[in-house]
Amino acid sequence: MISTISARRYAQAIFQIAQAKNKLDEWEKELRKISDLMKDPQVSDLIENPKVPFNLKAELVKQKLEKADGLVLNLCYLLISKGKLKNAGQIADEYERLLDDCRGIKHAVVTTAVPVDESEKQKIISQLEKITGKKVTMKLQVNPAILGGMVARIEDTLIDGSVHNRLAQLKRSLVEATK
Amino acid sequence: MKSQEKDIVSVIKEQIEHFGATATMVDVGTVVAIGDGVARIQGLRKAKYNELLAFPKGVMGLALNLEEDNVAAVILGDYSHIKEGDEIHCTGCVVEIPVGDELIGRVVNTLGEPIDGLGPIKTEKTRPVERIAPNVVDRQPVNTPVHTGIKCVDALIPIGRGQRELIIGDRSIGKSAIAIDTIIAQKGGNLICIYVAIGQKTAKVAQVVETFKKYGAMEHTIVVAANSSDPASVQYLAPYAGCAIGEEFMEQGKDALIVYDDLSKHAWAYRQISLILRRPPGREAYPGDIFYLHSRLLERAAKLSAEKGGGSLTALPIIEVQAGDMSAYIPTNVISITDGQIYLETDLFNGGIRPPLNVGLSVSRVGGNAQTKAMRQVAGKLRLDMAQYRELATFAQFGASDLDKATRAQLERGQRMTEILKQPQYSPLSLENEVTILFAVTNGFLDDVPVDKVSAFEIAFYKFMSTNHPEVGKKIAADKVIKPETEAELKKAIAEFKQSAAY
Repeated sequence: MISTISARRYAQAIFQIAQAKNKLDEWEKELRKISDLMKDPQVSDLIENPKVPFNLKAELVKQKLEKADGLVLNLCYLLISKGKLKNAGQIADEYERLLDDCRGIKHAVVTTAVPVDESEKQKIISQLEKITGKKVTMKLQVNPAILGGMVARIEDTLIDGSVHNRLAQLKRSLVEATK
Repeated sequence: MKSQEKDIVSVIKEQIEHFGATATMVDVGTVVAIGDGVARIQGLRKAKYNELLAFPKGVMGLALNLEEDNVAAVILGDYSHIKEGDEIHCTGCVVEIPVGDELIGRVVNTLGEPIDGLGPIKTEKTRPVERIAPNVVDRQPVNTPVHTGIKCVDALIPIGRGQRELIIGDRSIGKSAIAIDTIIAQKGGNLICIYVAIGQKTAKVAQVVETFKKYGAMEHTIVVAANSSDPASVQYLAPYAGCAIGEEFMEQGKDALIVYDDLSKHAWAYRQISLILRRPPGREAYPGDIFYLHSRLLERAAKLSAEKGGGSLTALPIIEVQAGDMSAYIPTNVISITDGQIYLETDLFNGGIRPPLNVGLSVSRVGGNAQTKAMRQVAGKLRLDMAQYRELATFAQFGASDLDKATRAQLERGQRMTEILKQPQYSPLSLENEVTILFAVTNGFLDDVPVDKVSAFEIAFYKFMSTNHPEVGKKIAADKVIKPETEAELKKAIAEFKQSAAY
C-alpha cells in the first residue's frame, strides 16, 4: 500500500512511544479507531474545513474517542493542527507494518491454480516460514492462468514456482540456444 | 540444418530431465506511476544504483533514483505497454553491450542490437557500459599520430593516438565532415573507428553510413546510432556504449578512434532525464552533474602504458555552439576536459575557407609529439608564417602599391598558404602528399603561381609526383622524415613540375 513519507515518520514516532510504554497492541487498536473515525464523511469534512476553529475540532475528536488515553488525544490534536488527520489510515497501516517487522511476521499472498485444502495450506506456510525465517500469515488466491504450481509474493520477494514461469524459462533457453 | 536440430533436441532433452527443478526467487516491485519514459516503482528495496530492472514484455529499465520509499527507473525502450500495477524484477546486472571484432562493419543501437538488417551478431564477450577510467599509472604520454588526411588539421592542430580533441563550431559548418574524413582516411590503416550518432536524424545517419560504404570505410568502422526518435535514456547511454566497444580494442593493445556526434544532444538527453526524475536543475536547466557526465566519458579515452598492452582510444567529441558562443555552459565544460579543440568559424566558412579552421583559437595540447618528424619539419614554419599573415591581413585591403616589399611578400605567401590549406570533402590525403605540398608552399615555390591557380597546381602536382617521382613520396612515407637527399630530390622535382606546366 502506498504511504507518504510523513505518515511513516508519524508511525515511527508512535511506535517508539508505544514500545517505551509497552503498549504496542493498545496503540494499534487506537490508531484503527482514529482511522475509522476519519472514514465518516461528516467528521472528515468538519476536520478538513479550515474555517472551523481548532478548539471545536479538538472537542469533537475528544467526544468521539471516549475514554482515550491522554497521549492518543495529544496525537489527534497534533495531527489536526498539522492538517494531517486525514492520513490516519496510512499512519495506522505503517504502524501495523512496523509492528509486524518487530514481531517477525511477514504477510504472503499465495496464488495457486486450483484451490488447496487445509493440510496443503499448512505445508505451504511452514515452507515459507523456513525460507524467510519469520512467521508467515498467508492469504490464498486462485488463478488458473498460472497452469500449476504456486506463486508466493512475500512483500518484496517473489517466489515463482508456477508451471507458467517454467514454460517461459524453457522458451527463453530454447531461443538462446538457437540464436 | 542438422546441427541446429541436434542442439534443440539436446536442449529439450535436458529440460525434460530437469523440469520442475527450481523455482525462481527475485526481488519485485510494483509500478505506481509511469510517464515520459520514467517509471516510479514501490518496493525493490534491494535495487542498486544503475541496476538493470526487468519490465514486462522484455523491456529493460535503469534504476537511477533510489529514494526512501520508491525507485525511479528510466525505461530503455518502448514504454507504451507498461501500466500501473505491473510487476518489476531486479536482475542484479548492470547495462552491458556485446563487444569484439564481429561488430566491425555493422550498425548497432545502444543495446548492441543490429539495425542494419544484416542479421544477428554473434559476439563472445560483453562489457559493462559504465566503467572507471584507467588511472595515472596505467597510462603513457601520447606519441603516435592519427593521420586525418586533412592538411590543416595534420599540420597545425595534430591529433595523437590517445588524445581527446574537441571539434566545436556552429551548425552546418563541417564538424561532422572533419570526423567523417578522418574515418575515411584510416582505410588501409590499423585504426579501428567507431562513429557514435547521438540524437541525430535517422536520414543523416543513413547518409553517413552510405558515405562510409562508398569510400570503403565500413571495413574498419562500427556505427552506434541512437537517433532522435529513440528515448532519451537510450541517447544518454549511447556514448558510453560506444566507449565500451572502443575500450575492448584498447585493452587488446590495438588503436581505436571514437567520434561522438554530438555531445550537445547528449547533454540535452541527460537534462531531459534529470528533469523528469525531479533532480534540481542548475544553470541553463542542466543538472548539477553535467560536467561529470562528459568527464567520465572522455577520461576513458587514453593511451595505455606498455605493461597494459600499449593500446589507445582517441576521442573526437563534437559540440555544436549557438551563434559562435564558445563561452556557454556545455562548450566551456567540454573544452576544459579535452586536450585541445578544433574551432570552426562561420565567417571563415562564408569566406570560402573550408575547412573553416580558426588557427588562432584552435589548439592541440599534445602538439608536436603527435606529429611525424617529416610533418614537423614543414609545419613549424607554416604555423609561424600563418600567424604573421593573420596579423598583416588587414593591410591587404590597402592594395599592393601602398606597402613595402617585405610586407607584400608575406601577404602573398599567406594567401597561397591559405589556398593550400583549403580542402574538399571526402578527399583525405596521404602523408607524403601533405608533406610535399606543404614543403613547396613554405619554401616559396608557389610564390610565383597566381592565387586562383593554386588549387589546380596542387591537384596536378600530386599526379605529377605519383607518376614521375613516386620514389620521393615512398621515401618520405617510409622514413617519416625529410632527409637532406630527399629534400634535394624534392626540390628538383618541384622545379621540373613548374617548368612542365604553364603556371
